[in-house]
This record gives sequence, C-alpha cells and structure tokens, in this order.
Amino acid sequence: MKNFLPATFLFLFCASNVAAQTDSVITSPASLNSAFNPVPLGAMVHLKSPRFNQGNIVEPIQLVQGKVAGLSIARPGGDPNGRFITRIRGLSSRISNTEPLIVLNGVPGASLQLIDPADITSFTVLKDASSTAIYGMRAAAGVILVETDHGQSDRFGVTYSAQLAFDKATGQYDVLDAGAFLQAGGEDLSPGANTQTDWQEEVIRNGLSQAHHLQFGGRLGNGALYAGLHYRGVEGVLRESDLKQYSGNLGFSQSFWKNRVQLKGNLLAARRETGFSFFEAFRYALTFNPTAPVRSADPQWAASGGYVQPNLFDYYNPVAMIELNSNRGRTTRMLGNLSAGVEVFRNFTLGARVAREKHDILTGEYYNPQSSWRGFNQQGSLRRFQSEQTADFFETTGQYRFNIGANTAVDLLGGYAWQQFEYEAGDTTASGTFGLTRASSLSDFESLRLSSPDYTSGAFTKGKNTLAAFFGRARINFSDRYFLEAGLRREGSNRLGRNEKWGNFPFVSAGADFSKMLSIKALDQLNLRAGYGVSGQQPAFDGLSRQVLTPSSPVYYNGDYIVGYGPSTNENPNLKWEEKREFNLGFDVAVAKNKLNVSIDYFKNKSSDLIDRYTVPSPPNVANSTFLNAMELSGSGYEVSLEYNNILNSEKLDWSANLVYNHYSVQVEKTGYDEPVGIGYPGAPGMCCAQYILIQEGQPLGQIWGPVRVGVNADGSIQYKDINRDGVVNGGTIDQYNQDQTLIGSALPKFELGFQNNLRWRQFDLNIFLRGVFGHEMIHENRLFYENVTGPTVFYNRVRTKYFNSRVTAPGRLDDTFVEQASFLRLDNLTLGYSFRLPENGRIRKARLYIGGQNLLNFSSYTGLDPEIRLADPGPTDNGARYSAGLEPFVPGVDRRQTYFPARTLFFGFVVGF
Amino acid sequence: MKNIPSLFKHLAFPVCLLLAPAACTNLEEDLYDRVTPDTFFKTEKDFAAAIGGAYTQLYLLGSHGGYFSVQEISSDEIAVPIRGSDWGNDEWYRAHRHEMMPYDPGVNSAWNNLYAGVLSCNRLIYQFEQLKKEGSGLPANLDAYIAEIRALRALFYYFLLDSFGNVPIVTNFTDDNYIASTIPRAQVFDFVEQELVAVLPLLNKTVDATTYGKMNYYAAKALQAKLYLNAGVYTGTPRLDDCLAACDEIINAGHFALEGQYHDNFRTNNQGSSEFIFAVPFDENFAKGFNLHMMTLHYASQATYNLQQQPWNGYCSLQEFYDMHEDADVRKKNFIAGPQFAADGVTPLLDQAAEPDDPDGPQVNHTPEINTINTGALRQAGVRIGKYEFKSGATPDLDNDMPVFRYADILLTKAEALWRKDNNSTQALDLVNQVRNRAFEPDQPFTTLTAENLLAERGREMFYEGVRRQDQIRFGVYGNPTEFMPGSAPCKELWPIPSTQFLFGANLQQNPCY
Repeated sequence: MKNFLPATFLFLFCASNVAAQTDSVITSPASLNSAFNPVPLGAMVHLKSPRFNQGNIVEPIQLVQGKVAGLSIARPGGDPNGRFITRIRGLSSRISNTEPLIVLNGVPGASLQLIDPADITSFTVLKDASSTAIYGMRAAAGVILVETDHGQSDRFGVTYSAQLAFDKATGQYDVLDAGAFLQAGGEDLSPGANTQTDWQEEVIRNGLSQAHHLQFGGRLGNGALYAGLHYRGVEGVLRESDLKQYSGNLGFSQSFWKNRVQLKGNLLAARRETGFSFFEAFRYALTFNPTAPVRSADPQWAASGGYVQPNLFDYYNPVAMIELNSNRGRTTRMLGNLSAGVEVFRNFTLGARVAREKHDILTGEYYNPQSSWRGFNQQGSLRRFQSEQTADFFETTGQYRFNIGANTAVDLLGGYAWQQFEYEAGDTTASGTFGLTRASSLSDFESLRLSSPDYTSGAFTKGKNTLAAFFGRARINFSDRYFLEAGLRREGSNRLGRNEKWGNFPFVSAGADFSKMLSIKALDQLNLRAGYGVSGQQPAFDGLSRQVLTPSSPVYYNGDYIVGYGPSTNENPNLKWEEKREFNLGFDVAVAKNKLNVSIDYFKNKSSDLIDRYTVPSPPNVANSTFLNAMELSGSGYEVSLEYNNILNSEKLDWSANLVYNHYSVQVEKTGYDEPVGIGYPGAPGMCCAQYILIQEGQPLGQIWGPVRVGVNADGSIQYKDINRDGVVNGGTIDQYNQDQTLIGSALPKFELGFQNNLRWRQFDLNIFLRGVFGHEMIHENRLFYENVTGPTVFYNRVRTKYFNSRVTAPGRLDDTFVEQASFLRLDNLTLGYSFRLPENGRIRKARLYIGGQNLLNFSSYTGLDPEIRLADPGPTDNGARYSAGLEPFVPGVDRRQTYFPARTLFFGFVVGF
Repeated sequence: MKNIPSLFKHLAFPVCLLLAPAACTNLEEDLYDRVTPDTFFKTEKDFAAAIGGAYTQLYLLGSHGGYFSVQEISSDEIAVPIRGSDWGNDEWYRAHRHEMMPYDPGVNSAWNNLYAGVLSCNRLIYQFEQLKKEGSGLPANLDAYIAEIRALRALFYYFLLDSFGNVPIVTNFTDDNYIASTIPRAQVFDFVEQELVAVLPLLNKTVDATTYGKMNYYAAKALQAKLYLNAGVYTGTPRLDDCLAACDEIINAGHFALEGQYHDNFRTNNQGSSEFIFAVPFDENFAKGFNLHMMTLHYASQATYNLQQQPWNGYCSLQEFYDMHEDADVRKKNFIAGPQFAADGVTPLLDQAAEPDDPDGPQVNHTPEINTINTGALRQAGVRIGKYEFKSGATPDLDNDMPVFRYADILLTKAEALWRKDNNSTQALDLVNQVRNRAFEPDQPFTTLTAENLLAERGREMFYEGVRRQDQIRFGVYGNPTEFMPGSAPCKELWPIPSTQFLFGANLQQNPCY
C-alpha cells in the first residue's frame, strides 16, 4: 500500500486529471491510474515522448499516428495545411463530432494547434466508454489527454534542436503526352512549334522545411519552470502551399507550506501563417491540354493575362490558378491555464482550475479578373473570413482517500465543471474591379481596396456553447488484487432541447491481477478487466432544437425591396444528446520483468439517438426539416498490443519491437428513414447524381454501391450485369439501388497495423516504423472521370493506369472496375541517430545527430497516388465551386480528384542540451 | 498576460456554487445570428418581412429544378435534352415524356416549395389572428392583411390543384395532431373557390406600386378566372359563366390594357406593365431567382450578353412548337435560333467542345431540330428561350419581372369560355384577334375559331408562362404523342406525390399510375 497515500499526494482538481492520479502533483498522467489501481481498468494507452514519431511533424497528432491500437489517424496526400482525421474505434456519429475530445493540460476541447509538437511529453488515449464517461457529453468519440512539458527534468537546462527536411512528391499520374493527346482527338493549342507541357511538373516543387526549438526548464526549489520557443517553416510540394509557425510555451509549478498548497499554470501561444495555395491545381494538372503552353503571346490570351485559359466547363490552367490568385491565412491561438490545490485536512484536497483559450483566424482569398478560376466571371473577387473564438473553463473538485481495514483503500472524488465557448465570424465576398493585380501576401490582401465594388455579400455568425457538469467517482482497491471503479457525470448543454437539458453518464469497471494469486515466477502481471460506460456527444451546432427563421430573398414591398423571412427548421424541444454505450473486456499479461507485454481489448458498443437533419412532411410541419435523434450505429472490434523489449537479450545490440493491431466494424442499425439512403456525390462532369455509398439498416458502414461491369459492347459502351435478371439493365440513380446495383466495395479496413522497431548499438539508434491499413477499397475518381474521356470532354487530357481499356469509347458511370483494393504497408519512418558520449556533469548534457525519412516505401496495388484510408469525404469541387459542407464521415473510401499529392520526406537534424 | 482579469472573473464560480447555484446550471440557449419566432414580430417592418417570406416562395417560378420546370418541361413547348455528359441526370428527359417518378428531386422540390408557401401563409394568418385577439394595433388593418395572405395561399393551392391534384389541405397552423391526408381534387377546387369568395370583399382594389406584386382584388379575380376555366378538368363540371364574370370584372375595371408591343411585357424594366395583373417582381440584386438566361443559353452565349457567369446550356423549345410560328409573327422572336454571335454581332460564337458529329460544326447554331433529348443530344441543338430581354452584363439573376396573370391571358380566357359555350361566338373571335393582331404587322386575324387554332394561339402568346401543360390538358391533347413524347395515359396528367412525403406516418395516397 505504499502507493496508496503518497506523502506528496495533495490534490486532484480537474476532470482532465480525474484519471490522472499520480504520486506527484506536478507530473503529467504518466502513471495514469497506476498510483491507485496498478491495473488500468478501461482501454487506455499512454505514450511518452520517446515513443513518438519523428521527422517533419507539423500537427501534434502525427506524433502518435500508427502507435495506438484502435486510434486511426489519416490525412490523404501531403498538404502541410491539410487536416488529419482522427477516429477511435470507428465511428459513433454522423453530423456531430466524430473526433476524440482533446484535453490539453487539463483543458477539455482545446486545440492541438496551440502547441508545437516538440513541447508534448505524453499522450494518453482513452478508448472505451468506461474510461471516457467521466468526460460526459463530448466523449463519445474517445478522449485524448495531452500533456506538455512543465519542467519535469530534475536538472535545469537548455536544449536547442534544429531540423531540415526536404519534401518531394512520391509520384505523378501517367497522362497522355502532347502527341498521344492529339492522336486521341484533342485540340492542338500549341502556338506553331509543338509544345509539350507537363502540367504536373509545373505545379509541384520540392519543399524545403525547417524547424528550430529552444527549450529551457527543470526543477527549481519547490517548483519547476519551463519555457519553449519554436519556429517551423514548412513548404508543401504544391507551389505556394506553406506554413510558418511561431509558438511559445511557458509553464510553471510551485508548492507552498510543505506542499499543502500547489499552484501550476501555463501559457501557450502559437501564430501560424499559412499559404493554402489551390489544391485543385492537382486536379486540373491532370486534365489540362498538354499541347498548351503555360503562357502565350497570342493576342487571344491577352485578356487572361497571357495565360492559356480556354473558357470551358471545369477546365483551368493550373499554373494560372496558382500564379494569378492567392489564398492565405493567419491564425493566432492562446491558452492561459492556472490550477491550484489545497490540502484542507489530511487526505482531503480541494482543487480548482481556470483557463481561457482564444483563437483569431483570418483568411483571405484573391481572384484576379484575368483568372478563369473564380476570377473572370466576377471581374475579380475578394473573400475575407475572420473569426474570433474564446473558451472559458472552470472546474472545482474535492477528493478524499481513506482505508477500510488493512487491505481496502477507497478514493472518492466529486466535482463541478463549467465551460463556455463563444465564437464570432464574418465571411465577406466582394466582386468588382481591383486596384491590385495580385495580392501575394496577407498584408497585401489587407490593403486591397475595391475600386468599384460591383457586388458584395457576407455572412455573420455568432454563438455560444455552454456546458455544465457535476461528477463523482469512487475507486476501491482490495489488496492490490481486485479493483473496482464506478462513477457518474451529469452534464448539460445549452444546445439541447428545452425538455432534455441534462444527461447522465454512468460507468463501472472492475479488474483483477491474478499474477499475485498464481505466484508464477516469471509472471509480472496477469490482468483481466471489464468495464461498461455511457458517454455522450452534444449537438454539433447551436439552435438545432429551435425553430429558425431564415432570410429568404428580399421581396418587393410598396416600391422597395425588404428581406422576407421564413421558417427553415422545426422546433424539436426533445432534441437530446447522442449516447454511446460500450462494453470493454481487457486482458494484459507481462512476463520476465516486463520484457514481453501483451494487451488485448475487445469492445462492443451501440451509439444511439444520433442526430441528423431529417426531411419531414410539410404539412403538418412548418418547415420541411427537423433535427431528430433517429439514427443508430453499433460497433465491435478488438485491439492487440505486443511489446517485446531487448529481443536479442544483448547488452550491445538492444532491439525492442512493438506491434499494434486492431480490427473494428461499424454497422448501421437505424437510419431514421424507411429506405436505404444513397450519399456521396461524384460531381461533374456527367456523374453528378449517382451516389457512391449506400446506407442500409443492418449493414456495415462504407458500402460502395453500383453496377457490375461484364464487358464492353461493340459500340464502345459498357455492358453492365443484369443482377436482378429481369432482362433490363437499369439506370444509374441510387433509388434503383436494388435494381442491377450491388455492393462493389467496402471502404472501411479489415485491420490496421503499426510495427515499431527500436535498435540501439553503441551510440547509434535506429527507428524503423511500418504502418499499414488492410482490406479497404477505394473509388479511384481520376480513373472514373478521366481514364475513358468521351464526347464533349475531348478537351480533357486522359489518365492512364494499368486498367485502361481502349475499347471503351462511350461515357460510363461508377462500376466495380473503378473500385480498387487499397491495402497498403508503408515504411512510415526510418531514423538513424547518433548520440555523442559526453562527460558526466559536463557543460554539454546531450548531443544527438539524426537523419531519416518519412513515407519512404509503399507496398500497395492501388493505382492512385495515395492508398491512405479516406475516413471522411469532403465532397466534389467542380468548376471552381468550393467545398459546400464539412467532411462527411458516412462516405469513406473516395479518392477525390482534387487530392493533394502525397510527399516523401527526408530530414536531418540535431539536438544539443546544456 | 491580458487574460488574467478574465481568469479572475471566473474565480467567482466557487462563490456561485455556494450562493447562487442556478447560475452554475443555467443552460439557456441564446441564438445571436439567427432569427426565431420569439424575437420576431416586434416592428411593422417585421410584419412586412413576414408577409414577404410567403411571397418569396413564388421566386421558385423563375429558377430551375422545381414547380415551374416540371410544368414547362412536361408540356410540348420545352425540353432539356441530355447534352453529352451535361444535364446527365435523366429526370428532365423523363419529365418531358410524362414519366416523372415519386423520387424525382424536381417533383419533390415543387411540393416542398408550394407547401412552404401554404405553411408560411398559415403561420402568418395564425400569428395575425393572435395579434388581433391581443388587441395589438400593429399593423392598422389586420383583416386586410389576413385576406391578402389567404388569397396568396389560394394561389399556392391552385398550383397544387393543377399539378398534384389530390393533395392535403392544411389551414390550421397550431394543430399538432394534424396528419396530412389526401383530399380529392374536386374538394381542393372547392376549397380554393370558397377561399377566394370569402376574401375578395376585403382585398385592396388599388392598382399601383403599393399593390404591385401583391394579391390584390384583381389578382384574386384573375386567379378565379383561371380556376373556373379549368373547372371542367378539376371537377368534371365546367364553370364557364363564373369564368366570364371574373374576366369581365377585370376587363371592365379599366386598370389594364394590352401593351403596344408584345415584347414590352418582357423587357428588363417591365415592372408595372399595363398588362400585368399579378407578377413576381424579380430583381438582380434583391429579389433573386429568375435564372432563365442561365437555364437556356449555350455556354458560349456568355459572350453575346456579357453575362457575369457562364450559362448552363439546358432549356430549349421543340421543332413542332417552333414551327407553329409564322415568320411574320413577332412572337417568333420568343426563340433564339440560328448561328450565334458575340456581343459585337460579328464574331461567331465557337463551341470548342462541339461534338464531331454536329452537322453545324463548332459555330454555335441553334437548330429547331434536335437529334435526341436522350443521351447524345447535340450541345447546340434546339432553339432557346429568348422571350425575355437578357440585359447585357446580367448577373445570374435577371432583373425582369415575371407575370403570373397577364391581361392578354384574361382576354384569351374570356374568348375561350365564350367559344366553349358557342363555337361560333364572334365576340370570342374578336377577343382572340385583338391579342393576335398585335403580333402581326399588318393584322392577320383568324376568321374562325377552332380547338386547334385557339390552343395554338394560346401557345404562341403564352409561351413559357407556365400554362402550356394546363392548356394541353384542357384541350384534351396532353397525352398525344409528340416528337420525343411517345404518348401518355390520362392519369399522367397529374404528378406523382413525392416519395419523401410518405415517410413519418402521413396518410397520403399516391396518384394513380405511380
């Protein structure tokens, strides 16, 4: 029971630290759960910085990509400003949040873009509902606790590290060259001499990135101090796509009165300047005329700035797109976080935390009047989006620990938490004639003035999200052998319907360590554990339960035009949170002084009352849509983690390996509709209305649906299979899902794998990390649209893959031949380091050099550039249109045409510590 | 450290726990960027905006994809061929062939928009009646407002009656237990008739800018005239005398007259045309939604009109319909036909992606003949709708107003009612010639009236005004085969009830043959 009442244990004061009982107030949840219950009862994984991914890492979540069984992290392509999609154990919602709740240094809902990855000391991934329920109404998609450095090291010191990285596109599409294009009937835009333009080469570049980190910190007296200063400059492989980030982290902790009072705080700030460029350039680089020069002196192109820009549907000169226009952004983020704990009397601690987070986001887009891409039609256009968000957090807790008899220890915790997010944004578009020919930086952009604003439009949003919660938890430890934990969070959100403001999120878990009972010498641990919990998800937006009147077009009224108003959604006072119930069964074994550790978790869950916007009959409803809790998903799966330390048993060559494996499946139990629903629009040209994915009750998520190709007719048209054998092959709309269409692919994987190897020989260390996703299929859009180009699209260049069938000469639609197996195994990271042998207590404490690469090798049969799993779909962007809505998580497996090319990275750097 | 004061602000919360627990659990939702019924209806302008919200539903008449599109494309005057991969959905191909399906987005959109109009009216009537009960003085004459809204609601029901036929009637805004159930077409007719009879005495008889675009007395009268003219179709019982009475009241009021030139009705600045009894007052900046030029013009025609956006190359008329027009008829200018040129009138418009098998080659040439309206239609095929003036430099939204009830239609309606009573009525012949002669220089009057020439004359005069399907049905020729329509059963005169309406327990019956 030595751990049970550690002398230094004083307080625990915040929901984010609810799980984090440690024997030091100051440390991160490094030994999560272990101080009190040596056996973690739920499914959770704790990773410290030495296990993190290395390389040209921009987003913190990249640090743990592939490292945690059941945590899927994916970003198709190599856009440095692209977003990683994160999922724990599949999917539990559609329109609400589908990504894990981030708890940064105890502040829930914080953005990871507040911090430089180098400041992070640990990630703790809470996967099952018995672990996450204490986080209540935002935890259904799992929880990730992130801790930054607060000066943990004993010795005060300074570290400087720097890194250079080179990004290069992993490959390009095979398209027709000028000669083949002409032969295939394309028009010759070459001015005289035969021009041959490789448009992909024209838009890509080799990116050069650098990162610098200056970190001070360590213990000082009864406290600790930490400061980190960081700079990152990253260039993507698409011209003009880049980012620069300046960030700082100031942290401290201090204790008083024999540790009876503890204070801890930090201030994080990050400023990021972004060049988004135009990822659509990749799409048009494939289709633009290879006989056209980038620029031409021919007078017919004078009006388009000398760039060859024929005015055709969905057809843009990708170089002109990048060079004539600009698309930049700037974000400033700050988080102040202060916590205090007081041991009021022995073993009873009161704690409180306050935090404020603030984000300022500004993006600007400029479209040159000479640019056919979004500019020409408007005589030039300017867009400015500005947003300000703040989040205030307050939490208070009380904790009491006591013993019953000699063998039973009890830990009680109770608390209250309150958080409020406020946001305000303005999105303005103006079209007209501009005084500038081009805004190339954001400051240019700010000085832009409309000389004659022909047209302006804007949208203003403002809102507030308030959450309040009471929570309690009891933990019991019998003789360090049996463990029991139970608790409840009662949480409310202002976004819920007025009849359903508060939800209850109970959890219970139990575990036993049989190793103590079996007394087998080599056996360190043999745990069996089980847990059940209920976690929730609040509505993703304000006002979903309310009747909302939206402005319709202005209307003529007594000689003037005034704005008309009409209802757009109905009231639903019973709109409640989404609820996930999950059972988790776990098994851990550790043998030979933790040389071999195996951990297996099995889960089964049901997510019900999922919110979506439903079309309802009107009449009797005022509006024809209502937000209802009508959808249900279920999931199950298992995760295996295997760790084998010092495999060779050698003092000289230490080889440790870690394998993580997981399988999950998500099934649609209820859609809320009577009929299966088709979603996922291919887009233009020509394939707008046959959806990719069919959502059917009782079937897994991610079913790619369509006809089966049996052959090619003599006239070049495609012959599809008459599946229902009625003698007719029916057309392509999703409503005919049961007529000659069938399951032609499964977009979600069968399993995921991460295989980490660390080797150490003398002063050298080698890290080899393989990551793979297996059994998923993907719709290869570039083939679907551009492999067999016909009819009016003769202007488009063609994509060629090994599947090209020259006999097809008539337009087709999605069929099984465009759905490809996309399993891949990737050498995600290879790093070789050398640490200098340094004298003890010398001036230089640490010196290391390293060289490595990311995404070095790919094993996959997929013919597109990136087989990385697509967990959610951004939708089409046709003819200059922007993405219309958020990512659609119910449409996985679509390799969109506008996907940023993936990159391979080589990096080298050094660390020196004083 | 500017965050510190706000940090302290929240240290007040432990105090709140002890002293004012309610503050800790206050989860009222304040919406800042949206309007809810709680915050509306405070000023007179709100009332105006609210009534406007109901009229706004009429903007659907000007755009692609809903009620007006299905009306026009299912008639013999308009088609949207599947041109290459554009317009690749077969919805409009089927609509022209009277093969609409309950899941068609256009049919669904028509239903939703029309009922959104009905429901806006119901809500407004309810809210205005509540205000009346409360004795609020805003606005001055609530009864007149309510009558106007009921007349507007009758217009939406008339559209529903004409297109879907058997539809639910909902008039009560607050009945939570209401279950939509199908009402037979004849009873829907009765409802519209009774509503108009009830509200007409309260409607404003003024005809000027204050009632322009509003359901005033004469707009309701025109609606009555059209309702009675088609009563035979709707109920099986003709109401020709009632139709004549309504027409006469409009004609005798002296407020309306034929414009000198036919196309004066369709100019960019056609607001307040003496022929407009009821029009939708579109505006390129404010009242947006009249997209005819985008819907019909070829992509390249952007250069002819210097349009701000590239048009969509969709809607066109058909050869049989086009050939009904004599060369001397000014209404032949309702169509854009032949080779097309840029704004300078000289530079030929080129379609760089013209089909290799297009007999006219790359220069855009709108031929009356269309090779097919199914997959493989030539990009340039079909004469385009040029009835409305397309302003040079137009945005995607036209400034022209769109007539719903036009004086010429009332003259022809009266003529038809007379002709149906007496096929040799000279008054009927005179009325038709009054309208017809305007289109010719010199006059080319008819000498007799027949079903064929009357329907044809209505077709020429009323092209693309949303009445052709109704006319064809009334003359009993809707199901007759035309070039791309193989003939259809009489039950296809009604549209299918959208499939989404059968979800959630509505007690609806699908129309026959769907």
